[in-house]
Amino acid sequence: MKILLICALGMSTSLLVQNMNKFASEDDFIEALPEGKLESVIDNYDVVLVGPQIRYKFPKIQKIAETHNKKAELIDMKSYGAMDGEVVINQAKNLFNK
Amino acid sequence: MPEKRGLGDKINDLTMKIAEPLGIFAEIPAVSAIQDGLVGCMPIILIGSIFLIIGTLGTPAIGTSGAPLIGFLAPIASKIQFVNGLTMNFLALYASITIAMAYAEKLGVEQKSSAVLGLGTFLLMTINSITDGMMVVKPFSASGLIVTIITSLAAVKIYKLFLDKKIVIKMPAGVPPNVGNAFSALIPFMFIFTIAWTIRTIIGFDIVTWLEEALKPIFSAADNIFTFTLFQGVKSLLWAAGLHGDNMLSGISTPLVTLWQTQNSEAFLAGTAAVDLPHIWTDGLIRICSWTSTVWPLIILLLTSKVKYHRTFAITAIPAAIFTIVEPVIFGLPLALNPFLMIPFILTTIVSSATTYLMFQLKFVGRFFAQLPWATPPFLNGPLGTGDWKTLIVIVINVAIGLVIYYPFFKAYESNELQKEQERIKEVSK
Repeated sequence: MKILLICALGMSTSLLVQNMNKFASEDDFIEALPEGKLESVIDNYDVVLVGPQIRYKFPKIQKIAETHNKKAELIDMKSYGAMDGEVVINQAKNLFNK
Repeated sequence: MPEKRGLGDKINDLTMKIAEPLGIFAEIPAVSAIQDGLVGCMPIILIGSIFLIIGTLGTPAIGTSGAPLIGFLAPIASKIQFVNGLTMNFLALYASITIAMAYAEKLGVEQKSSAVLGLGTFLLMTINSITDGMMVVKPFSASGLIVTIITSLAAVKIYKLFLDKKIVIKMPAGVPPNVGNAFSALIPFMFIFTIAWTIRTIIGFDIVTWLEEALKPIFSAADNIFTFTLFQGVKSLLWAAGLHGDNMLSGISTPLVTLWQTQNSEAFLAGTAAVDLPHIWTDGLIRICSWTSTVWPLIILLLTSKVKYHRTFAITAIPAAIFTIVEPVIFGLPLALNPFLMIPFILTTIVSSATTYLMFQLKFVGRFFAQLPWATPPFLNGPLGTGDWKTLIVIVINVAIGLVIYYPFFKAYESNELQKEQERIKEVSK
Protein backbone atom coordinates (compact mmCIF):
# COMPACT_ATOMS: atom_id res chain seq x y z
CA MET A 1 0.00 0.00 0.00
CA LYS A 2 1.23 3.48 -0.80
CA ILE A 3 0.64 6.04 1.93
CA LEU A 4 1.08 9.79 1.48
CA LEU A 5 1.50 12.00 4.54
CA ILE A 6 0.80 15.68 3.99
CA CYS A 7 2.18 18.36 6.29
CA ALA A 8 3.63 21.86 6.20
CA LEU A 9 7.24 21.26 5.16
CA GLY A 10 7.73 17.51 5.45
CA MET A 11 10.38 17.78 8.18
CA SER A 12 8.78 16.55 11.38
CA THR A 13 6.52 14.20 9.46
CA SER A 14 9.58 12.47 8.04
CA LEU A 15 10.23 11.35 11.62
CA LEU A 16 6.81 9.76 11.66
CA VAL A 17 7.54 8.06 8.33
CA GLN A 18 10.63 6.50 9.91
CA ASN A 19 8.55 5.13 12.77
CA MET A 20 5.81 3.89 10.45
CA ASN A 21 8.32 1.98 8.35
CA LYS A 22 9.11 -0.17 11.40
CA PHE A 23 5.55 -1.50 11.22
CA ALA A 24 5.22 -1.58 7.45
CA SER A 25 5.27 -4.69 5.30
CA GLU A 26 7.67 -4.99 2.39
CA ASP A 27 5.35 -3.75 -0.32
CA ASP A 28 4.32 -0.68 1.66
CA PHE A 29 5.62 2.70 0.63
CA ILE A 30 5.29 5.75 2.88
CA GLU A 31 6.27 9.30 2.03
CA ALA A 32 5.84 12.76 3.60
CA LEU A 33 5.37 15.76 1.32
CA PRO A 34 4.27 19.40 1.70
CA GLU A 35 0.69 20.28 0.84
CA GLY A 36 1.64 22.13 -2.36
CA LYS A 37 2.77 18.89 -4.01
CA LEU A 38 -0.47 17.01 -3.30
CA GLU A 39 -2.33 17.61 -6.54
CA SER A 40 0.53 16.55 -8.80
CA VAL A 41 1.44 13.33 -6.93
CA ILE A 42 -1.79 12.07 -5.38
CA ASP A 43 -2.45 9.57 -8.17
CA ASN A 44 0.66 7.61 -7.16
CA TYR A 45 -0.74 6.81 -3.71
CA ASP A 46 -3.57 4.79 -2.20
CA VAL A 47 -4.44 6.90 0.86
CA VAL A 48 -3.67 10.39 2.16
CA LEU A 49 -3.13 11.27 5.82
CA VAL A 50 -2.89 14.89 6.94
CA GLY A 51 -0.81 16.31 9.80
CA PRO A 52 -2.84 18.12 12.49
CA GLN A 53 -0.79 21.31 12.16
CA ILE A 54 -2.35 22.03 8.77
CA ARG A 55 -5.85 20.86 9.62
CA TYR A 56 -7.16 24.24 8.47
CA LYS A 57 -6.29 23.03 4.96
CA PHE A 58 -8.09 19.72 5.37
CA PRO A 59 -11.31 20.71 3.54
CA LYS A 60 -9.24 21.65 0.49
CA ILE A 61 -7.17 18.46 0.69
CA GLN A 62 -10.34 16.42 1.07
CA LYS A 63 -11.75 17.99 -2.08
CA ILE A 64 -8.60 17.23 -4.09
CA ALA A 65 -8.62 13.65 -2.78
CA GLU A 66 -12.26 13.20 -3.76
CA THR A 67 -11.71 14.36 -7.33
CA HIS A 68 -8.88 11.81 -7.58
CA ASN A 69 -11.00 9.08 -5.98
CA LYS A 70 -8.75 8.76 -2.94
CA LYS A 71 -9.53 8.75 0.75
CA ALA A 72 -8.04 11.35 3.10
CA GLU A 73 -8.11 11.60 6.88
CA LEU A 74 -6.56 13.74 9.63
CA ILE A 75 -3.92 12.20 11.89
CA ASP A 76 -5.01 12.57 15.48
CA MET A 77 -2.92 15.09 17.46
CA LYS A 78 -1.80 12.75 20.20
CA SER A 79 -0.49 9.98 17.96
CA TYR A 80 1.13 12.53 15.66
CA GLY A 81 2.92 14.15 18.59
CA ALA A 82 4.00 10.79 19.96
CA MET A 83 5.23 9.96 16.43
CA ASP A 84 3.40 6.66 16.94
CA GLY A 85 4.14 4.74 13.75
CA GLU A 86 1.98 1.75 14.64
CA VAL A 87 -1.21 3.69 15.30
CA VAL A 88 -0.82 5.83 12.18
CA ILE A 89 -0.08 2.94 9.83
CA ASN A 90 -3.13 1.11 11.18
CA GLN A 91 -5.17 4.24 10.62
CA ALA A 92 -4.00 4.25 7.00
CA LYS A 93 -4.90 0.58 6.56
CA ASN A 94 -8.35 1.03 8.10
CA LEU A 95 -8.96 4.05 5.92
CA PHE A 96 -7.95 2.12 2.82
CA ASN A 97 -10.23 -0.80 3.66
CA LYS A 98 -13.22 1.41 4.44
CA MET B 1 -10.75 22.76 36.30
CA PRO B 2 -13.87 23.82 34.40
CA GLU B 3 -13.06 27.53 34.14
CA LYS B 4 -9.59 26.88 32.70
CA ARG B 5 -10.95 24.52 30.10
CA GLY B 6 -13.40 27.23 29.12
CA LEU B 7 -10.49 29.58 28.53
CA GLY B 8 -8.73 27.00 26.36
CA ASP B 9 -11.87 26.60 24.27
CA LYS B 10 -12.12 30.35 23.90
CA ILE B 11 -8.53 30.56 22.66
CA ASN B 12 -9.26 27.78 20.21
CA ASP B 13 -12.37 29.56 18.90
CA LEU B 14 -10.47 32.83 18.55
CA THR B 15 -7.65 31.10 16.71
CA MET B 16 -9.99 29.41 14.30
CA LYS B 17 -11.47 32.83 13.51
CA ILE B 18 -7.98 34.09 12.62
CA ALA B 19 -7.03 30.87 10.84
CA GLU B 20 -9.87 30.96 8.35
CA PRO B 21 -9.11 34.30 6.64
CA LEU B 22 -5.37 33.54 6.83
CA GLY B 23 -5.96 30.26 5.05
CA ILE B 24 -8.02 32.00 2.37
CA PHE B 25 -5.36 34.71 1.93
CA ALA B 26 -2.57 32.14 1.61
CA GLU B 27 -4.56 30.30 -1.06
CA ILE B 28 -4.74 33.32 -3.38
CA PRO B 29 -2.70 32.11 -6.40
CA ALA B 30 -0.54 35.25 -6.61
CA VAL B 31 0.22 35.17 -2.87
CA SER B 32 1.19 31.53 -2.80
CA ALA B 33 3.16 31.94 -6.05
CA ILE B 34 5.30 34.70 -4.48
CA GLN B 35 5.95 32.50 -1.49
CA ASP B 36 6.64 29.34 -3.50
CA GLY B 37 8.89 31.27 -5.86
CA LEU B 38 10.94 32.73 -3.01
CA VAL B 39 11.14 29.37 -1.29
CA GLY B 40 12.47 28.03 -4.59
CA CYS B 41 15.29 30.58 -4.31
CA MET B 42 16.20 29.39 -0.82
CA PRO B 43 19.34 27.48 -1.95
CA ILE B 44 20.61 30.72 -3.50
CA ILE B 45 20.08 32.59 -0.22
CA LEU B 46 21.65 29.85 1.90
CA ILE B 47 24.67 29.24 -0.32
CA GLY B 48 25.26 32.97 -0.65
CA SER B 49 25.06 33.21 3.15
CA ILE B 50 27.53 30.38 3.71
CA PHE B 51 30.12 31.98 1.41
CA LEU B 52 29.49 35.32 3.05
CA ILE B 53 30.13 33.82 6.50
CA ILE B 54 33.31 32.00 5.41
CA GLY B 55 34.61 35.11 3.67
CA THR B 56 33.83 37.22 6.73
CA LEU B 57 36.08 35.00 8.85
CA GLY B 58 38.92 36.37 6.71
CA THR B 59 38.04 40.01 7.42
CA PRO B 60 38.27 42.08 10.61
CA ALA B 61 34.44 42.39 10.68
CA ILE B 62 34.15 39.76 13.44
CA GLY B 63 35.44 40.62 16.90
CA THR B 64 37.12 43.79 18.06
CA SER B 65 40.76 42.83 17.56
CA GLY B 66 40.94 44.57 14.17
CA ALA B 67 42.58 41.46 12.69
CA PRO B 68 40.91 38.73 10.65
CA LEU B 69 39.64 35.80 12.72
CA ILE B 70 41.21 33.27 10.34
CA GLY B 71 44.38 34.77 8.93
CA PHE B 72 44.98 32.60 5.88
CA LEU B 73 41.52 33.46 4.48
CA ALA B 74 42.32 37.16 4.42
CA PRO B 75 43.90 37.38 0.95
CA ILE B 76 40.95 35.63 -0.74
CA ALA B 77 38.16 36.95 1.53
CA SER B 78 36.66 39.20 -1.12
CA LYS B 79 36.83 36.40 -3.70
CA ILE B 80 34.93 34.09 -1.36
CA GLN B 81 32.31 36.75 -0.71
CA PHE B 82 31.94 37.31 -4.44
CA VAL B 83 29.89 34.09 -4.55
CA ASN B 84 27.35 35.94 -2.43
CA GLY B 85 27.42 38.74 -4.99
CA LEU B 86 26.31 36.40 -7.77
CA THR B 87 23.84 34.33 -5.74
CA MET B 88 22.03 36.02 -2.86
CA ASN B 89 22.75 39.48 -4.20
CA PHE B 90 21.14 38.57 -7.55
CA LEU B 91 18.03 37.27 -5.81
CA ALA B 92 15.61 39.38 -7.89
CA LEU B 93 16.99 37.86 -11.09
CA TYR B 94 16.56 34.28 -9.85
CA ALA B 95 13.14 35.09 -8.40
CA SER B 96 11.90 36.44 -11.74
CA ILE B 97 12.14 32.86 -13.01
CA THR B 98 10.86 30.96 -9.96
CA ILE B 99 7.92 33.27 -9.24
CA ALA B 100 6.82 33.12 -12.89
CA MET B 101 7.03 29.32 -12.84
CA ALA B 102 5.18 29.03 -9.53
CA TYR B 103 2.42 31.34 -10.77
CA ALA B 104 2.20 29.45 -14.08
CA GLU B 105 1.76 26.22 -12.13
CA LYS B 106 -1.14 27.76 -10.17
CA LEU B 107 -2.82 29.14 -13.30
CA GLY B 108 -2.23 26.03 -15.36
CA VAL B 109 0.01 27.71 -17.93
CA GLU B 110 3.02 25.98 -19.51
CA GLN B 111 5.92 26.48 -17.06
CA LYS B 112 9.00 26.53 -19.28
CA SER B 113 7.80 29.35 -21.49
CA SER B 114 6.55 31.21 -18.40
CA ALA B 115 10.03 31.02 -16.86
CA VAL B 116 11.49 32.60 -19.99
CA LEU B 117 8.71 35.17 -20.02
CA GLY B 118 9.32 36.12 -16.38
CA LEU B 119 13.06 36.55 -16.87
CA GLY B 120 12.66 38.48 -20.12
CA THR B 121 10.02 40.84 -18.76
CA PHE B 122 12.13 41.56 -15.68
CA LEU B 123 15.23 42.33 -17.77
CA LEU B 124 13.36 44.57 -20.21
CA MET B 125 11.65 46.36 -17.35
CA THR B 126 14.86 47.12 -15.47
CA ILE B 127 17.80 47.37 -17.91
CA ASN B 128 17.99 50.11 -20.55
CA SER B 129 21.53 49.92 -21.87
CA ILE B 130 24.54 47.70 -22.25
CA THR B 131 27.69 49.71 -22.94
CA ASP B 132 30.93 47.98 -23.90
CA GLY B 133 29.53 44.71 -22.60
CA MET B 134 28.64 46.22 -19.23
CA MET B 135 25.36 46.96 -17.54
CA VAL B 136 24.18 48.14 -14.15
CA VAL B 137 23.22 45.08 -12.09
CA LYS B 138 21.62 46.96 -9.19
CA PRO B 139 18.09 45.90 -10.27
CA PHE B 140 19.09 42.25 -9.70
CA SER B 141 19.70 42.86 -6.00
CA ALA B 142 17.24 43.40 -3.15
CA SER B 143 16.34 46.73 -4.78
CA GLY B 144 14.67 44.88 -7.65
CA LEU B 145 12.81 42.28 -5.62
CA ILE B 146 9.48 44.11 -5.56
CA VAL B 147 9.79 44.82 -9.29
CA THR B 148 10.46 41.18 -10.04
CA ILE B 149 7.35 40.14 -8.10
CA ILE B 150 5.24 42.60 -10.12
CA THR B 151 6.73 41.81 -13.55
CA SER B 152 6.65 38.03 -13.16
CA LEU B 153 3.07 37.95 -11.84
CA ALA B 154 1.77 40.46 -14.38
CA ALA B 155 3.54 38.82 -17.33
CA VAL B 156 2.20 35.35 -16.57
CA LYS B 157 -1.29 36.73 -15.91
CA ILE B 158 -1.33 38.55 -19.27
CA TYR B 159 0.05 35.44 -20.98
CA LYS B 160 -2.80 33.43 -19.48
CA LEU B 161 -5.36 36.01 -20.67
CA PHE B 162 -4.02 35.78 -24.22
CA LEU B 163 -4.20 32.00 -24.12
CA ASP B 164 -7.75 32.08 -22.71
CA LYS B 165 -8.94 34.55 -25.35
CA LYS B 166 -7.08 32.48 -27.96
CA ILE B 167 -5.08 35.50 -29.20
CA VAL B 168 -2.28 33.23 -30.35
CA ILE B 169 -0.83 31.92 -33.59
CA LYS B 170 -2.48 28.62 -34.36
CA MET B 171 -0.55 25.83 -35.99
CA PRO B 172 -2.26 23.41 -38.36
CA ALA B 173 -2.92 19.90 -37.06
CA GLY B 174 0.10 17.63 -37.40
CA VAL B 175 2.63 20.15 -36.11
CA PRO B 176 4.34 18.71 -33.01
CA PRO B 177 2.93 20.24 -29.80
CA ASN B 178 6.29 21.69 -28.72
CA VAL B 179 6.68 23.57 -31.97
CA GLY B 180 3.10 24.74 -31.65
CA ASN B 181 3.75 26.02 -28.11
CA ALA B 182 6.75 28.03 -29.24
CA PHE B 183 4.64 29.83 -31.83
CA SER B 184 1.55 30.25 -29.68
CA ALA B 185 3.74 32.15 -27.21
CA LEU B 186 4.84 34.68 -29.81
CA ILE B 187 1.96 37.17 -29.72
CA PRO B 188 1.60 37.41 -25.92
CA PHE B 189 5.42 37.57 -25.49
CA MET B 190 5.67 40.31 -28.12
CA PHE B 191 2.92 42.29 -26.39
CA ILE B 192 4.36 41.94 -22.86
CA PHE B 193 7.99 42.57 -23.88
CA THR B 194 6.96 45.65 -25.88
CA ILE B 195 5.22 47.15 -22.86
CA ALA B 196 8.22 46.50 -20.59
CA TRP B 197 10.69 47.85 -23.15
CA THR B 198 8.54 50.95 -23.78
CA ILE B 199 8.33 51.76 -20.09
CA ARG B 200 12.03 51.33 -19.39
CA THR B 201 13.90 52.19 -22.57
CA ILE B 202 11.58 54.45 -24.61
CA ILE B 203 9.96 56.45 -21.81
CA GLY B 204 12.99 55.95 -19.56
CA PHE B 205 10.99 55.26 -16.41
CA ASP B 206 13.27 53.73 -13.76
CA ILE B 207 10.77 51.58 -11.89
CA VAL B 208 13.41 50.09 -9.56
CA THR B 209 14.47 53.42 -8.10
CA TRP B 210 10.92 54.77 -8.12
CA LEU B 211 9.46 51.82 -6.23
CA GLU B 212 12.37 51.76 -3.83
CA GLU B 213 11.78 55.41 -2.96
CA ALA B 214 8.01 55.04 -2.82
CA LEU B 215 7.83 51.83 -0.82
CA LYS B 216 10.92 52.07 1.34
CA PRO B 217 9.24 54.04 4.13
CA ILE B 218 6.33 51.58 4.28
CA PHE B 219 8.41 48.41 4.14
CA SER B 220 11.10 49.65 6.47
CA ALA B 221 8.52 50.89 8.93
CA ALA B 222 7.04 47.39 9.17
CA ASP B 223 10.29 46.20 10.74
CA ASN B 224 9.68 47.49 14.27
CA ILE B 225 9.30 46.07 17.74
CA PHE B 226 5.50 46.35 17.76
CA THR B 227 4.74 44.61 14.47
CA PHE B 228 7.35 41.97 15.27
CA THR B 229 5.86 41.25 18.69
CA LEU B 230 2.34 41.26 17.27
CA PHE B 231 3.39 38.89 14.50
CA GLN B 232 5.04 36.54 17.00
CA GLY B 233 2.01 36.75 19.29
CA VAL B 234 -0.43 35.79 16.53
CA LYS B 235 1.91 33.01 15.46
CA SER B 236 2.07 31.54 18.95
CA LEU B 237 -1.70 31.78 19.25
CA LEU B 238 -1.97 29.63 16.13
CA TRP B 239 0.57 27.13 17.44
CA ALA B 240 -1.22 27.07 20.80
CA ALA B 241 -4.28 25.82 18.94
CA GLY B 242 -2.12 23.19 17.22
CA LEU B 243 -1.85 24.95 13.87
CA HIS B 244 1.39 25.55 12.00
CA GLY B 245 1.69 29.27 12.77
CA ASP B 246 4.88 29.84 10.79
CA ASN B 247 3.39 28.24 7.73
CA MET B 248 0.11 30.13 7.98
CA LEU B 249 1.75 33.53 8.25
CA SER B 250 4.54 32.97 5.74
CA GLY B 251 2.40 34.29 2.88
CA ILE B 252 2.67 37.68 4.54
CA SER B 253 6.11 37.45 6.10
CA THR B 254 8.25 35.63 3.51
CA PRO B 255 8.47 38.48 0.93
CA LEU B 256 9.28 41.07 3.60
CA VAL B 257 11.74 39.02 5.60
CA THR B 258 13.52 37.86 2.43
CA LEU B 259 13.79 41.48 1.28
CA TRP B 260 15.16 42.60 4.63
CA GLN B 261 17.66 39.75 4.85
CA THR B 262 18.96 40.48 1.35
CA GLN B 263 19.27 44.18 2.15
CA ASN B 264 21.27 43.30 5.26
CA SER B 265 23.67 41.06 3.32
CA GLU B 266 24.09 43.74 0.67
CA ALA B 267 24.87 46.41 3.29
CA PHE B 268 27.23 44.07 5.11
CA LEU B 269 29.14 43.31 1.89
CA ALA B 270 29.40 47.05 1.31
CA GLY B 271 31.17 47.40 4.66
CA THR B 272 28.40 48.22 7.16
CA ALA B 273 29.09 46.86 10.65
CA ALA B 274 26.74 44.09 11.80
CA VAL B 275 25.23 46.22 14.58
CA ASP B 276 24.36 48.99 12.09
CA LEU B 277 22.66 46.82 9.44
CA PRO B 278 19.35 48.27 8.22
CA HIS B 279 17.11 45.46 9.48
CA ILE B 280 16.55 43.65 12.76
CA TRP B 281 13.66 41.39 11.75
CA THR B 282 15.15 38.48 9.84
CA ASP B 283 14.62 34.73 9.90
CA GLY B 284 17.55 34.37 12.30
CA LEU B 285 15.92 36.72 14.81
CA ILE B 286 12.86 34.49 14.95
CA ARG B 287 15.04 31.40 15.25
CA ILE B 288 16.90 32.61 18.33
CA CYS B 289 13.79 33.73 20.23
CA SER B 290 10.78 31.60 19.27
CA TRP B 291 11.42 28.03 20.38
CA THR B 292 14.36 28.81 22.66
CA SER B 293 11.97 30.68 24.94
CA THR B 294 8.95 28.40 24.68
CA VAL B 295 9.85 24.78 24.03
CA TRP B 296 13.35 24.58 25.49
CA PRO B 297 12.40 25.81 29.00
CA LEU B 298 9.41 23.50 28.94
CA ILE B 299 11.68 20.55 28.24
CA ILE B 300 13.93 21.59 31.14
CA LEU B 301 10.90 21.72 33.44
CA LEU B 302 9.69 18.35 32.18
CA LEU B 303 13.08 16.81 32.92
CA THR B 304 12.73 17.86 36.56
CA SER B 305 9.06 16.91 36.81
CA LYS B 306 7.78 14.53 39.48
CA VAL B 307 5.70 12.81 36.82
CA LYS B 308 7.65 9.90 35.34
CA TYR B 309 5.99 10.18 31.94
CA HIS B 310 7.16 13.80 31.71
CA ARG B 311 10.81 12.85 32.20
CA THR B 312 10.82 10.07 29.61
CA PHE B 313 8.87 12.27 27.20
CA ALA B 314 11.36 15.14 27.58
CA ILE B 315 14.32 12.89 26.82
CA THR B 316 12.75 11.63 23.58
CA ALA B 317 11.83 15.20 22.56
CA ILE B 318 15.32 16.68 23.01
CA PRO B 319 17.04 15.64 19.75
CA ALA B 320 14.35 17.13 17.47
CA ALA B 321 13.95 20.21 19.69
CA ILE B 322 17.66 21.07 19.35
CA PHE B 323 16.98 21.52 15.64
CA THR B 324 13.84 23.53 16.50
CA ILE B 325 11.51 20.76 15.33
CA VAL B 326 8.82 21.18 17.93
CA GLU B 327 5.85 19.15 16.70
CA PRO B 328 6.55 16.26 19.11
CA VAL B 329 6.22 18.67 22.07
CA ILE B 330 3.34 20.68 20.61
CA PHE B 331 1.24 17.62 19.78
CA GLY B 332 2.76 14.90 21.93
CA LEU B 333 2.74 16.38 25.42
CA PRO B 334 0.52 18.01 24.21
CA LEU B 335 1.17 21.70 24.48
CA ALA B 336 -1.51 22.53 21.94
CA LEU B 337 -4.91 23.16 23.54
CA ASN B 338 -3.41 22.33 26.92
CA PRO B 339 -5.36 24.47 29.41
CA PHE B 340 -2.32 24.80 31.71
CA LEU B 341 0.39 25.50 29.15
CA MET B 342 -1.27 27.58 26.42
CA ILE B 343 -1.21 30.81 28.42
CA PRO B 344 2.49 30.75 29.42
CA PHE B 345 3.36 29.62 25.87
CA ILE B 346 1.77 32.72 24.33
CA LEU B 347 2.97 35.06 27.11
CA THR B 348 6.55 33.84 26.82
CA THR B 349 6.59 34.32 23.06
CA ILE B 350 5.41 37.91 23.43
CA VAL B 351 7.87 38.81 26.20
CA SER B 352 10.87 37.11 24.63
CA SER B 353 10.16 38.52 21.17
CA ALA B 354 9.99 42.08 22.47
CA THR B 355 13.09 41.57 24.64
CA THR B 356 15.09 40.05 21.80
CA TYR B 357 14.11 42.78 19.36
CA LEU B 358 15.04 45.43 21.91
CA MET B 359 18.49 43.92 22.48
CA PHE B 360 19.13 44.09 18.73
CA GLN B 361 17.71 47.60 18.51
CA LEU B 362 19.95 48.83 21.33
CA LYS B 363 22.92 47.36 19.40
CA PHE B 364 23.80 44.99 22.21
CA VAL B 365 24.29 42.34 19.52
CA GLY B 366 25.09 42.34 15.81
CA ARG B 367 22.24 41.88 13.36
CA PHE B 368 21.88 38.98 10.94
CA PHE B 369 23.90 39.47 7.75
CA ALA B 370 23.45 35.85 6.68
CA GLN B 371 20.59 33.38 6.73
CA LEU B 372 21.05 29.74 7.66
CA PRO B 373 18.65 26.81 7.14
CA TRP B 374 15.79 27.19 9.60
CA ALA B 375 16.52 23.88 11.33
CA THR B 376 20.04 25.03 12.29
CA PRO B 377 20.31 24.85 16.10
CA PRO B 378 19.82 28.42 17.38
CA PHE B 379 23.11 28.42 19.31
CA LEU B 380 24.90 27.98 15.95
CA ASN B 381 22.47 30.06 13.90
CA GLY B 382 22.96 33.16 16.07
CA PRO B 383 26.77 33.35 16.19
CA LEU B 384 27.21 32.29 12.53
CA GLY B 385 24.47 34.52 11.12
CA THR B 386 25.54 37.64 13.00
CA GLY B 387 29.21 36.97 13.66
CA ASP B 388 28.46 37.92 17.26
CA TRP B 389 28.90 35.41 20.10
CA LYS B 390 26.68 37.59 22.30
CA THR B 391 23.66 36.11 20.51
CA LEU B 392 24.29 33.19 22.89
CA ILE B 393 23.50 35.54 25.79
CA VAL B 394 20.25 36.46 24.03
CA ILE B 395 19.36 32.77 23.85
CA VAL B 396 20.18 32.21 27.52
CA ILE B 397 18.02 35.21 28.47
CA ASN B 398 15.17 33.79 26.39
CA VAL B 399 15.42 30.39 28.08
CA ALA B 400 15.37 32.19 31.46
CA ILE B 401 12.29 34.23 30.49
CA GLY B 402 10.56 30.99 29.56
CA LEU B 403 11.51 29.27 32.82
CA VAL B 404 10.19 32.13 34.94
CA ILE B 405 6.88 32.51 33.09
CA TYR B 406 6.20 28.77 32.77
CA TYR B 407 7.12 27.86 36.35
CA PRO B 408 3.84 28.55 38.22
CA PHE B 409 1.72 27.21 35.38
CA PHE B 410 3.90 24.15 35.06
CA LYS B 411 3.64 23.39 38.79
CA ALA B 412 -0.15 23.40 38.52
CA TYR B 413 0.08 21.15 35.46
CA GLU B 414 2.55 18.85 37.21
CA SER B 415 0.39 18.31 40.30
CA ASN B 416 -2.64 17.70 38.13
CA GLU B 417 -0.78 15.08 36.10
CA LEU B 418 0.74 13.57 39.24
CA GLN B 419 -2.71 13.07 40.66
CA LYS B 420 -3.81 11.37 37.44
CA GLU B 421 -0.74 9.15 37.49
CA GLN B 422 -1.34 8.05 41.07
CA GLU B 423 -4.98 7.33 40.30
CA ARG B 424 -3.87 5.13 37.44
CA ILE B 425 -1.45 3.26 39.70
CA LYS B 426 -4.29 2.69 42.23
CA GLU B 427 -6.51 1.39 39.46
CA VAL B 428 -3.87 -1.12 38.42
CA SER B 429 -3.09 -2.31 41.93
CA LYS B 430 -6.75 -2.86 42.78
